[in-house]
Amino acid sequence: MSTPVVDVITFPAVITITTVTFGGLSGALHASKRGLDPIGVFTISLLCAVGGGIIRDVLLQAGVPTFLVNPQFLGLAAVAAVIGFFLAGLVKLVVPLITVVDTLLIGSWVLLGAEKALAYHLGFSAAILLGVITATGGGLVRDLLCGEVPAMVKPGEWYGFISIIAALFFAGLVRLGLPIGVAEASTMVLAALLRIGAMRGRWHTPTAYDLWGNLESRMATGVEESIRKRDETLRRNERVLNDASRD
Amino acid sequence: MGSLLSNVDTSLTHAVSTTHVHMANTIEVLPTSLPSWTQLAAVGVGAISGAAFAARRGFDVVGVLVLSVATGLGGLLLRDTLLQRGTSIVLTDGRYLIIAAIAAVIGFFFAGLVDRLEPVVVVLDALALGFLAAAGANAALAIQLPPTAAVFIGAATASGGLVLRDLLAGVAPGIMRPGVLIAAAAFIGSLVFTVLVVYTGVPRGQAQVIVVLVVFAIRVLAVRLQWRTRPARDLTDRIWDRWIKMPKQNPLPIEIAPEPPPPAVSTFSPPPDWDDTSTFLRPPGLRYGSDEGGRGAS
Repeated sequence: MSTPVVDVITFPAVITITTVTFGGLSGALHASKRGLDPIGVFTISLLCAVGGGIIRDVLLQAGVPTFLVNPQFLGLAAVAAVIGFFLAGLVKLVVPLITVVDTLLIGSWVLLGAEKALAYHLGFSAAILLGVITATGGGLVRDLLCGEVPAMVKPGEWYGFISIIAALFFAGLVRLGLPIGVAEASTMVLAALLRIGAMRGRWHTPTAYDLWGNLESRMATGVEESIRKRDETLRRNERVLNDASRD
Repeated sequence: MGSLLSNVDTSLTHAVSTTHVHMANTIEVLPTSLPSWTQLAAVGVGAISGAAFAARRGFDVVGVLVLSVATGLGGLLLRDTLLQRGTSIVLTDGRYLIIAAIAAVIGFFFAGLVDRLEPVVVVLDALALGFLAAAGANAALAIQLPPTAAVFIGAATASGGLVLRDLLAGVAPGIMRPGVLIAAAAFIGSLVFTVLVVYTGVPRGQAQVIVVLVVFAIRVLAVRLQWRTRPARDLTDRIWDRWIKMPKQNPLPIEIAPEPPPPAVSTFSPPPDWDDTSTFLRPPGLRYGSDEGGRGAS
């Protein structure tokens, strides 16, 4: 575990920029729909774009978060905020596009976190955790700041669940010793396929299954059933005996 | 980091930290630091307003203490967490927590007084906002972050405490909702500080004074003139109509036919409950009893 698995982050910058841009756009739309003011729209847009990355960098304790070192991220978020603030109608027209891009990029969010963890000589469990946090952190902070229950913890869309699966898959592939590019590509494909399947098949994330309670109630109904059957048998026997005695 | 620490101006460091020893990796020891009493005062003001907020909502002792500390120290904690330069100043310098605790006690016992002195609190809050914006932007510039990042850090330092307070109180952060100018004032202050320091070379102490005055002016004017931030406005249709869609040009002026006179309308209209004498004889708008009963079958 001490040898670095990933020397440098080989993730293409184009995909990073696209991911962040579309995250910012969706955040700006989300915020302007809720009637926030300009500062609010910018904040939500920025946090949707780089919120997961901020949490990742703070957890990694590896220097100033990326978005502060590269001011292009702040600029992207500002542009997204302006568009979301004044041109919400235009953004709504391209919601299908945003959905498609979002679908294709869910894997890259995971990779942005997992790869950085591996590059900082952390283990695979840390890579999985940071991948999931990077993928879901932006939405989590967004919902907290909008005063809502985070969509991540509510039953509904497969998003956080897919990111968990993708992070596990990526860590497994790297552990198996596949080239990093192959692992990246297949993780992104897997995440996109899962997301498409979840959206087309209307899969819902399962809520807690009360295994013990179910067993208990089943056992309880079993006992009740047996008591009822026993009583019925006794009554019938009694009746038979009574009839016999009357005769 | 090494290069930053190598040129620490020792005299200034001693002037800043006469009463306590700083760790070498805190932001305060950088040669460009501002006087620490400004941050301490800002923390105290924020903590008192946080404590009054909690007391107004009927929180218990722990709630008042936590909200007071969060409002006072939240911004600086956020700044130091984002800048990742060792332990935060609010932990290495014990005075911050003591001030926040004293503010919590004041807020717990004198919340009514704090509420009654609202103009004073608004003035103090405005001053604290400027101090914090300058402190945040200054710290970001001191570790040589780009100016845009410094502007962001300054605004986040000034408004982070309020966001944290609202989150802990379980309400959506009001600072991002349409309303009074707080975050915008902090943003402008941070922008002014960064521009002054980076592009005009004004000494940081003077820049801080200017920033505090600017933020104070914005806040006071916003209160006096009732400036309010607005929610998002969708200009897509307007832009489309005005600039993108080509206006239809009529080659010949079309004579517009005069409007036909309105058809004669009988002025008589039966009252709504024509067949119900009980309501018909009463003046309109005076109905007794509820809807069921007394009305006609219609």
